[in-house]
Amino acid sequence: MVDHEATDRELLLKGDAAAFAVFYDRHAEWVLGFLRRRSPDGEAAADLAAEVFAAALSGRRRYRSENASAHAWLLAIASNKLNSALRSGYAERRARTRLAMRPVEVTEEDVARIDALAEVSVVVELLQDLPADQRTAVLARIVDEGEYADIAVRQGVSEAVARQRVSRGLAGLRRQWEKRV
Amino acid sequence: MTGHRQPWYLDRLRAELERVAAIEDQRERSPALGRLRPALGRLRPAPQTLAALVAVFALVAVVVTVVTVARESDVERPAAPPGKKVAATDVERGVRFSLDGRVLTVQLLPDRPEVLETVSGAEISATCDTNVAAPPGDRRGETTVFRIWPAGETSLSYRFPRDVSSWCRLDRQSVGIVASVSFPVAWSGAREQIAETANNWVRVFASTEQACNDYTAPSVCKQIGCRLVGGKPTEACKAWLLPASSTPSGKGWAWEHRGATVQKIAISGDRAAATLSKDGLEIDTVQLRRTATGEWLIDKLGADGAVGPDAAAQRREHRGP
Repeated sequence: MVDHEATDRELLLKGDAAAFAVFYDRHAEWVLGFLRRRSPDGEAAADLAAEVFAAALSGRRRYRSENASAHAWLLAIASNKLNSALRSGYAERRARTRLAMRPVEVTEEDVARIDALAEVSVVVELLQDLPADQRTAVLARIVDEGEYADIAVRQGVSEAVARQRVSRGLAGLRRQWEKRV
Repeated sequence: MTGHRQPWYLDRLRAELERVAAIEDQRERSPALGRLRPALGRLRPAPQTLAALVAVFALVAVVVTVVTVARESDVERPAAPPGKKVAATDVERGVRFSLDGRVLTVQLLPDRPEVLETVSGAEISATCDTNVAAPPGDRRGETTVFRIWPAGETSLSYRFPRDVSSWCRLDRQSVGIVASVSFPVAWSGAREQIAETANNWVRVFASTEQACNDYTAPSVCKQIGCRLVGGKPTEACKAWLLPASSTPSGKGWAWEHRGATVQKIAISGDRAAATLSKDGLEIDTVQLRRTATGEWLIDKLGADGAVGPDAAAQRREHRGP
């Protein structure tokens, strides 16, 4: 049984297929969105995403960071694969070949959804740039629609501090967003 | 995970990742123990059974040890052909690659401490290519070997499961390409040998009608059921050759090879294919294999190994009237 509350680090080091599936669920969309915004088309982004997660699967037990979130680790893999693809003109297949992965086809409908992900993932990326306490508070309030009192209890702070963290987090997001657009 | 209900790309990718992850899981469990489990389940816990179990475990331990030693020393594989040793240096990165058959040795030059820092203690993969004739982007000929680079070491060897001859590169997953080189001497040498063998074969064949000759491996003689007795081809050889009356020119298949030369060569490891052309037309393909002594010999006739009058007719069909 996989603990869905486990950190990325715990999931990766656990090393089994079920734990990796939970890890994949957490990150697949933003990785694909990230790659889409830097790739010429949705198919190229999908191809790269498959290679990124194949590399992550191969290297999961070698995750050495003390950071509980593997966002930076995945981002490094994705950037690396992306740069390699931009240099050579095609996505690497090393990790997929090593795992003997079968190709996953991309339909036209997929391409449309991948394009849509590119927009959504901007917000996810911006969230990752926030300090951890603000990020947690923003997610708890905006995504999970939690009450400030509950957020405060979970974070071990007063309700006022919880409100302040959400407020500062949203302000930070706005600033970052304005810089990008 | 995504909020999307119907399977779409990420769901299908997830399923494929789960499939290969499950295979990885299985692979990482001890295969010997895995095979023992069902047998253990069937055994009754009697004293003699326990004794048998001990014996089985002892036997498994011995077998595993022997197999491991054999694998490490590469005993079960045929020895790598003593081909030419080649070396090339990535001057920009300060990394020297030496290739000796299947063994690639990578040496970091002393004036590039940053490269040592990059590889030290990290998993560094070496990828080399075998198929020098592959089109750009074709990765079917690539082979990758993964090793942890010992911290502080300036040299490391990689043993490939097959011969590599074209180019090699080092990668670190989080960094990308660390260094890369190509070995032009290695494969241009092979191409010359292949062309020489195939041209000699076609010359002998065209003049003597002996498809099985000094430039072919015994497999070709078996393939066409043809032997030479007293220097002359047997009836089986003649059966393979086209009857003189069946060609438009009224002459045999061997005659049609007269003047043909190698125009294209494709190499993949210790195998190669040479396409023979005459007057601008491709007339035949022969397949070659590199022997343990490094010599190239024709191993099969035809692009797919098909031989005999039927194959000859097929070849004629492909060429058109």
